[in-house]
Amino acid sequence: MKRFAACLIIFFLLLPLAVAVDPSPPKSTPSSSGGDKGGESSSSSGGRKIVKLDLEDLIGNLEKWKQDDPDKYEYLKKLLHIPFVPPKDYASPTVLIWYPSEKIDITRNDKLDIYAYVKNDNPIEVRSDVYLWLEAKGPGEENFTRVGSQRVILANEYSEKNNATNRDWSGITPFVDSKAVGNTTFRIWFNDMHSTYYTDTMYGKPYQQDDYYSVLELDLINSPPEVDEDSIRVDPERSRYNDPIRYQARFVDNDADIINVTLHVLDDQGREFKNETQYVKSGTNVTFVASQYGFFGEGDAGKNFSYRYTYGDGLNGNSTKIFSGPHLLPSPKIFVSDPGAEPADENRYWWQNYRFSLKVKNPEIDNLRIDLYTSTRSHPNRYQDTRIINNSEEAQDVLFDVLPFDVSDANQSFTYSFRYSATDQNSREETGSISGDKINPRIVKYPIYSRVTILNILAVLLAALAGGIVIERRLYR
Amino acid sequence: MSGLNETVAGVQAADMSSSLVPEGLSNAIASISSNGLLGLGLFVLLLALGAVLHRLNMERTYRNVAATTNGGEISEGELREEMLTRQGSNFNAAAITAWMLLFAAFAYFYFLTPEIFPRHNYYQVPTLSSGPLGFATFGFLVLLLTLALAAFIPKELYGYYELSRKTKVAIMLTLPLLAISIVLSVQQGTIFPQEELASRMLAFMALFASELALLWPIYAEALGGMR
Repeated sequence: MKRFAACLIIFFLLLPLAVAVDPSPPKSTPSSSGGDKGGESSSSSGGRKIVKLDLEDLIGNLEKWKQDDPDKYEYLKKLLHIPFVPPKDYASPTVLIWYPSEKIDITRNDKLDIYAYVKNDNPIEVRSDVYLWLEAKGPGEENFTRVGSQRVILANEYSEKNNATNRDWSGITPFVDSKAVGNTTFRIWFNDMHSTYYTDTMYGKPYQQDDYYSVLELDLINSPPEVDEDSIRVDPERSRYNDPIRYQARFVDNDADIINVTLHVLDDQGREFKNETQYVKSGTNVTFVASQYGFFGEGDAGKNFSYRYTYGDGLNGNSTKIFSGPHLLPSPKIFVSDPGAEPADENRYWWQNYRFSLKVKNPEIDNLRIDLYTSTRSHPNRYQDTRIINNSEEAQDVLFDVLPFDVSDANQSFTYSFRYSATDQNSREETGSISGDKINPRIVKYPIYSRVTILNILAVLLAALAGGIVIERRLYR
Repeated sequence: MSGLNETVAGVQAADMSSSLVPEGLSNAIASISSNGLLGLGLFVLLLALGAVLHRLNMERTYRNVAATTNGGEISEGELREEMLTRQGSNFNAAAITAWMLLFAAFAYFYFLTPEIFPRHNYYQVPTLSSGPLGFATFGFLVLLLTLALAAFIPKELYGYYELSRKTKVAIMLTLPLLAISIVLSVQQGTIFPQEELASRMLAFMALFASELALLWPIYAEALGGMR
């Protein structure tokens, strides 16, 4: 355009002369806006009529010609076009990519330092400014896009020693948003005021020596994010629906990519119940507070939930296994108190009965089941008996008169617990282990003077005597 | 309270026993009776010594007889047949019973409760041993296991010796003595894990006195032969 404009200016400088020598009578100009605006003036001098055009008229005429007769307008352009001829000894500068790094595999977050190396052997009076852009093409992309900002080298900015200089694009992350991995290509676009060049096409064949490239090719790689499974937990695992339940996990991405973490809360059928997503930095804990997201409501009390995470870095995604929790405690239905265990005898022999008791207030549940369990080292969690009670506004004493132990429990301490078919005031369905006293170490419950013991001894003595008589009769005669 | 009473009774019984026998002897018996391996070894040693002495007695008798026959030859088997003396069915039955009870009393003393052999005792089967037939079951088992031995020993031991009336009475008196030992051992079992030292020592003495009495004819013959 500049050249075209220069031609036009020359044209208009010559135009008055042409008009002045024109023997024909003056014609009216196509511009009709003329006279009254004073844009066109004419004067007669010795039979010659001189028409003087100003710039506004000329532009107006050109625009009109362009619209009215585009073919002639194009012809006019062609007539007036003067091709640029660079100076005789001018040589285009040599431009290469300088990548002083051995890192060929790059990640999206790697900060790259890429330079343009420019050598311009033209004399300074012939050199023109050089404009440079770094261009990159990501994996799967068809076109190059410009990276960073334009760099300019003025004629006097070359080293006097070797006529070279360089420009840098430091700390660039051209593929930070890439959605694919694979081969990436860099080239430099430059213009030396005479022509435009691309380093990937201006040379006969690709050039590479040391750290200098006409085309720089790097591999964009990605490490998928990982989860630290030991860090996955929901706390507290058993809680009320409105407790501040926190899901926590720690994710790591070796490429320092931002990780999108989605928590999937599953109901007791394993179906997705809710999901929420957070974006976290690698190595930081992600925390989902259930109450903040409104995961659970009163209607969820008593249900068992599970959860899993899906996570990704935009390129690779993965999923954790399903973890159980939280187990939401049901709302209290009964109130229990005063658990007790009383042996029938203060000696606490294993063969004696014990009387276990529990005070229960059960205002609403019919057929409330209460189980008694005892535990010793020999018999852990041993079921003893069950009582069924109906609802009542008054507190009820639930009694178990049982023979809870056997001889192998002798000399051992015991604990006992009650389990019930409803939730108590502690949101539990059992009392937990309650310590009892130590069981007497005596093993045999029959004293020496008891009939049982005497009969035992007599039986042995008589058996020996009978054996003696029989053997004597059979073998000694 | 009853546990406390039993402990006090045990201590009193131990004091009484220590007043009946000299203190040094009492300590020695208590030490031996509480040492399972020593007691077991002593019991077996007495039996083995009796067997050896019996063999020596028989050989000496054979040599003496052979020396007096002046060249007339008699085999050892023929001599045994000639020497065999019938001791009477009552005595034989009592002797067999006594030997059966000896083994039973030994087992009751050492292998009923875990005090002496903590890993090898009948109380390792607590459900059975604490049941109403526990003591009897244990006794029957021992009687069955030692039946053959008890049937064989009296015939071999007492058939070749002249037993005086006193010796026979002594052997037959082992029956009540062994019964006492068994009763006292069972009593130890009923009060386990408590102990009554006096009962234990008494049971021990009754057991080993009976063993000595049952083997006495052999030892006496050996002593006579040595003289």
